Amino acid sequence: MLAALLMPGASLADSLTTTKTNNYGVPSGLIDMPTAEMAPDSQFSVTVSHFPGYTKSTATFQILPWLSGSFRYSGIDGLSPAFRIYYDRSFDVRIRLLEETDYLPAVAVGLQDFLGTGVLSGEYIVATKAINNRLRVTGGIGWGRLGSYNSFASWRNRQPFTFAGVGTGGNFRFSDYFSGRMAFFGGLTYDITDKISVSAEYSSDAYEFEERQTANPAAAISFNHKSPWNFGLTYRAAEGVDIRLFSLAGSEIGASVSLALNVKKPATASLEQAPLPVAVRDPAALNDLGWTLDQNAQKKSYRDFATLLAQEQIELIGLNISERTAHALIENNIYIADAQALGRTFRVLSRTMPASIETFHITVSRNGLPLSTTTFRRSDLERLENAPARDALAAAVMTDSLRFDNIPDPLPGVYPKLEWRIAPFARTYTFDPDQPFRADVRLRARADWHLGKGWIVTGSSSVKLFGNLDHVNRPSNSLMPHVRTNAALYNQEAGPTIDQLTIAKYSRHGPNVYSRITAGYLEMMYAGVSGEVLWKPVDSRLAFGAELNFVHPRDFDQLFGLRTRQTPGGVIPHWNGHVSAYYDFQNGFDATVHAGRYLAGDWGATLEVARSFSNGWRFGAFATKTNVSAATFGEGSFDKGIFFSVPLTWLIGQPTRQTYSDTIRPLQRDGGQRLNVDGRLYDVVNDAHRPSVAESWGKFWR
Amino acid sequence: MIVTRFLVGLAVIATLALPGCTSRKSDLTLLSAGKLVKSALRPPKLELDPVKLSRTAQKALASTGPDEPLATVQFPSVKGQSVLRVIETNGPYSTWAAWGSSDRRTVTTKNGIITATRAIPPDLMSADVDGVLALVSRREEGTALYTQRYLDGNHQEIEAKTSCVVSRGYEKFVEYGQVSQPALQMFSSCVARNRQFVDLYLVSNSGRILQSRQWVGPTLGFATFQMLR
Repeated sequence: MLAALLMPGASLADSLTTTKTNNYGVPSGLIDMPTAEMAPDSQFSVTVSHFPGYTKSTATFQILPWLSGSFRYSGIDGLSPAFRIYYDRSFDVRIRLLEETDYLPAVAVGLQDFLGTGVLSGEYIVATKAINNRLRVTGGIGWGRLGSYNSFASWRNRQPFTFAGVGTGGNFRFSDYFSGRMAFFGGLTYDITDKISVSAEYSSDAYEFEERQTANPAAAISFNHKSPWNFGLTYRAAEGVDIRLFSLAGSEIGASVSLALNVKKPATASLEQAPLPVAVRDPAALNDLGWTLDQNAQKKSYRDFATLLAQEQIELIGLNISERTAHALIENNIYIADAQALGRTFRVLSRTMPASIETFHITVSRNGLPLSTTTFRRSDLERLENAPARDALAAAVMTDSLRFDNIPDPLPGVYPKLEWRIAPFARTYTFDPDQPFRADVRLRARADWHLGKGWIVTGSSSVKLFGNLDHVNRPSNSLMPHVRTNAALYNQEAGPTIDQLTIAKYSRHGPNVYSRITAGYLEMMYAGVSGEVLWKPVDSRLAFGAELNFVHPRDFDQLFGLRTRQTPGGVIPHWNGHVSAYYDFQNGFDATVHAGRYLAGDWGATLEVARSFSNGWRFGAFATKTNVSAATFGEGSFDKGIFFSVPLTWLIGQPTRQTYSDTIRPLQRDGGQRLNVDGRLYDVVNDAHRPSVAESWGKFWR
Repeated sequence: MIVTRFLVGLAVIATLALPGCTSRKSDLTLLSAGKLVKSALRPPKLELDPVKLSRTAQKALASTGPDEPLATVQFPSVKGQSVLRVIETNGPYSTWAAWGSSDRRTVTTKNGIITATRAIPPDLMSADVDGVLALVSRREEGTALYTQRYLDGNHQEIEAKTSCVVSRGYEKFVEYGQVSQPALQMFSSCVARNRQFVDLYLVSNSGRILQSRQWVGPTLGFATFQMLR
């Protein structure tokens, strides 16, 4: 059938996208050269390409239809005399300037390895045109690495790459971009079938540095550039899996594998159960208040509501019923979208509340904090069940819960509530020059004891099952107080260790204001007290926060002891903290700025920008600049990295709020480091507020 | 698909983000994830079995009151079939679920036209069918707008609008379950920029849709909906 073409929202006007990637892991049908093609929006791919002595692993995310970003880790045998394998991290960014038209090609500009030490650095302007459904032609001009073979001109000065010039690395090299020698490159891609395609290219990369090091007797690399012509054969093994064989420079044979997924297309279709339908009232019963005199009828309403809500796996905290109004206090620990929890709870109310009740309020709470109250007229619920979701959104009123003076009290038996879990987890140590990836798998037991009124006692302890983190032998050379670079010393501990032991109190002090205070063993490396306030109106896309922490470093054995604040790089100060601003652009992007004092006592600011998907995926990047010089900071010059969250429900189809999140830094240094404290307010509050709920409102009737 | 699922399975296990055991019933654990991966790798074998369906239908007809609505539905693309009973009504809308089971999947119809599905992914969230319904049930020819709404993978409701030409076909005699009466074929040919489909309704003299073959969505394709009473 035409099923693929008929996907809702699918546009037939294909704007020159490809799901193939080249050796650098960026969207391209060619081999070593870039094209002006982009991946489909929200595509995430991991490409591993290899030819003897040379391995590149690249993660690429199509941030916007016209913008992609890549992070790469490459290992080159013997490139530098100092290392057996020279490992290098690099970032790319590509922008499509012009979309393809009937007669004109798409045009893109790209920066390759624009931030690292620059061993792969190059820039390009490239044009690609689809001649028909199968053939695409590309031509472009490259600089840097991509201007090194048969260059036709040169402007401005560009220092050729040498290890001597690297310094602390990690900085932008604005003066180098698009300067120095320039050369033409180009190529063709032809799809023989839907699964098999061939490509041929004329490469402008002379692999000069590799050849020079080949001539250097101290370096062990061996590379011989014989020809500018590269050829490739790509086989699509399955949706999202591409395998390629290629010949390079007339002297090398290599292969690459690319795995891709699209964040907007869940890996498994939803396995969520159908919601209960709305029960429409008998108009004759609307004014029947007999139940208000009947204790049994009232008890039955409570009981039925509790039973059905439990079937929806939504936690009931409290319920008030009066003649015309019902107000439920719930906690959603199951659905990624609070809109879905609201939709299901409203329908359960419609099925269980006496007919005279016309107004429903639902307050969503987390960590004992009432976060937002959504009000629906029951007759609207009955009327809009089969209408577009936007109609229900227009009928819903969301207010700050504190505007209600009668938020239900917790039902007897709800508190104290003990939640616990025993789970394995992985602790990783990446990008060590001796071995780029090391990990321990540990088993952790965690308990959260909710005492009510926002009090939570949390304990978490873990023990190593297996792994090789104890092999990390990289003493910190940091010139700053060693606030994070001692990670190896903490990681060596098999345990059992106390990962967290805290008491926290969450409070509301008035409309729009939230607070948290946490005391105890806050994280792996620090104990102390952390206090935070957040201002966030329920319908606002903007929030402000402030956090103040008093910390002391913990013993490396991660038990109850503390260690001296004195480190070879200086004294770890007691006090740190930030003021923060959070803004949701409502187009899927959000930005956060933290400004203040970091763990090592350095002052500065962090900018985080992320694309957040309603389905729980999140990709972002951050950079921190503080008042330490690049030389003091050490390798990398300033702290930066990428972070991501993968919602488990996307993978498995079952409803769950469990999410796997991680932050990847090219280098862990001591500058610009914040405390890791559990349960920061914005993350607790934001999901239940109107901008987030509205973004997922499609789930209201699901 | 198998490869994708396999990767998914690997990813689940590789993340190791799953608890071995937990106090929270809704949490996914290593054990339940293992089961999921296993069932994804070896999906249960489904097939359309008209004999079995009609046997269940006979049982349902025998054990329910004469006024209780019953129907059968088949989704050939996913090889799903069921005998349905109405679990709730909202004005002209009826929500149907499998008879004799507590299976939480539903189909909602408006006087015989499917307007929504739940837990039959990708779900049809709602539909505007009034124009086509009016023509079909009056057994008149004409054109009407027809809108179906789907949920995409990012929680957004996507609206698919089509324009339909309703035309009359032949008289047919419908015999199914306890239905035994003459009906007229009504075709609804719907076209939009990137989709087209032809729905077929068999409409009684009183304007009731007795049987239909309806386009539910791009992935699910057609559903066959037949009244048993």
